[in-house]
Amino acid sequence: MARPLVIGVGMPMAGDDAAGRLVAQRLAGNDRGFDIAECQGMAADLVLLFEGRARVLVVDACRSGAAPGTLLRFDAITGTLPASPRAVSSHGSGVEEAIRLGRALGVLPERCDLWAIEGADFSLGAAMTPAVSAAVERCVAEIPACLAAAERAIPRP
Amino acid sequence: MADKTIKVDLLARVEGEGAFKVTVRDGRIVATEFRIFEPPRFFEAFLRGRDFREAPDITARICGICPVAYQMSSVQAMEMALGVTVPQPIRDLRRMLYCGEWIESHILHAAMLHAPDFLGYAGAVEMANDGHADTVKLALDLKKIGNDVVAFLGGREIHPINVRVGGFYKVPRRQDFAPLREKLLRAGEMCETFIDWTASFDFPDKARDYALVSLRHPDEYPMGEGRIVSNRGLDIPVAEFGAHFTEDHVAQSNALHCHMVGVGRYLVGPVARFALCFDQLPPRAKAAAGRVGIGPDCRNPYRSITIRAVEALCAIEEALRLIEAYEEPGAPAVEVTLRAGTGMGATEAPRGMLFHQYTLADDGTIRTAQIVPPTSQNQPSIEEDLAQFIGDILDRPEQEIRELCEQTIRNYDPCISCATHFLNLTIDRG
Repeated sequence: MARPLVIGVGMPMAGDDAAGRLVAQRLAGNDRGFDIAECQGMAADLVLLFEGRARVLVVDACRSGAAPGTLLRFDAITGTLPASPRAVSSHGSGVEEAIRLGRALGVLPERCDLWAIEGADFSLGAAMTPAVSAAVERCVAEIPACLAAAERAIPRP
Repeated sequence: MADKTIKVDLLARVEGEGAFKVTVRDGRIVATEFRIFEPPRFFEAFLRGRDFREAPDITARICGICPVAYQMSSVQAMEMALGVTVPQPIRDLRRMLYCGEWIESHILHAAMLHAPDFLGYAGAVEMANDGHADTVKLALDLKKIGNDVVAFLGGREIHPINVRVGGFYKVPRRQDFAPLREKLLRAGEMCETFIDWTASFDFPDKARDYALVSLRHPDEYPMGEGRIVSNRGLDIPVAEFGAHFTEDHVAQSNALHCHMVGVGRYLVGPVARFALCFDQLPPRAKAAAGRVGIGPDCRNPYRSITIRAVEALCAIEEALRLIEAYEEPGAPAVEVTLRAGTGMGATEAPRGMLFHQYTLADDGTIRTAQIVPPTSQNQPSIEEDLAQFIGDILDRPEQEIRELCEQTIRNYDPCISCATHFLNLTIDRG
């Protein structure tokens, strides 16, 4: 089975919407026992990334009404997910649709978590809100240990 | 029939944010408005004052679906401004990169966004859950091969970073293509199956006599270069775009509406390319089109889903041909000498012709930028389709009218913005 995968989702140059992508970029470069991918959040691309993975952690920006920079963690397979800033539609968030599509196609990971960073400004050209930048650093610091602990917890045959 | 307003507040399965309104008086449609928010206007301002080398990477971020199109039109315009001509191997690599984008964009739209309209599903998930999982999976696997082409040549799948003015930052060795070639060979078979699937749908019996516009190249189906041609007699070099096409502000939209001088609204995209350049399709794509009974006379925009599938096969064939013919260039890019100047570039994004124009100062600073995306060119045509195609069903239930409106808009694969998925539809019956 492939290694765990961290997917940074978002839009660069769109203020706080770049948060997930920035987490992925900050984690890249050192082999920490998991793989890194970036995408813009379309369900089709997320499902392609899910395939063959047992453990996926998606980092995205969100709009839930919490204070900017709040880090929310969800079990994406069983939980109710917050609104994504770029996919506010009847289909819910891109991650939510990807979970439904992955289930329909039989390619759902055993575990998929969403770490959602509450953003404040998603306008094109905006700078990242300081509280969101701090949340990015928190994700970068916590994700390696989180995935390592999860790996240890998975019984091996 | 009562006057009324038909309004849809939310349209999923389009790339962007917008709104639509139909006004009906005395049982007749008196107005259609398609309103969109469109990022290129922001990017034009953002580019001014920046170095010309930044344009390919910045414009690639305008669209998550067609970043290669933005890169290709921008480098072409910059190279014209700077008097740069790229050698054939660089040109071939760029066309191959564009092939990857056509595959991923066309298959994404046709399978995941447009097909549910024809089969009566709310979306791809519902379609997959009701007996079409194998086809949805086939389409995703096909799209992935397009992603792989873009990642291989562009440096990564989304917002590729390997393209520069004058060429590439890094070019592959000939032997590096072997895994990609194997995937593309498989993709050909998959795409044939996909073409047949889309051709099996029931299509609304609608057509219009469109003014069609696309690039046309003497030797190949248009992607990265050619002259601008139309079935209304136009045949001009890209540099004359501004003399023949106008952009106008309209009250209902943040995007500019485009018109062809002396003609008016016009259509860009797969139906236009297919009609104007059918003879340039490579053999397998042309044979597939013949098998499913679609040719250059097609003016039914709902059948664009099948044309997209045929164009995806064209891209697969072309990528394979270019891999076979590939010779490594002596250098990944040609030298660029700074000078003041103005340059234009036009290429065929999956959803239609994309025009860029830049004026550079003598130190390479961008003085002016103009970006004319395909969706803003198609906006007036979208409004006319809605006026023409739903007039005979105004007595049907509102849900049915909405669904046909949405399907009609999706014929264009509108890339309205890259941020959200909103479209409001209003039918005003007074």
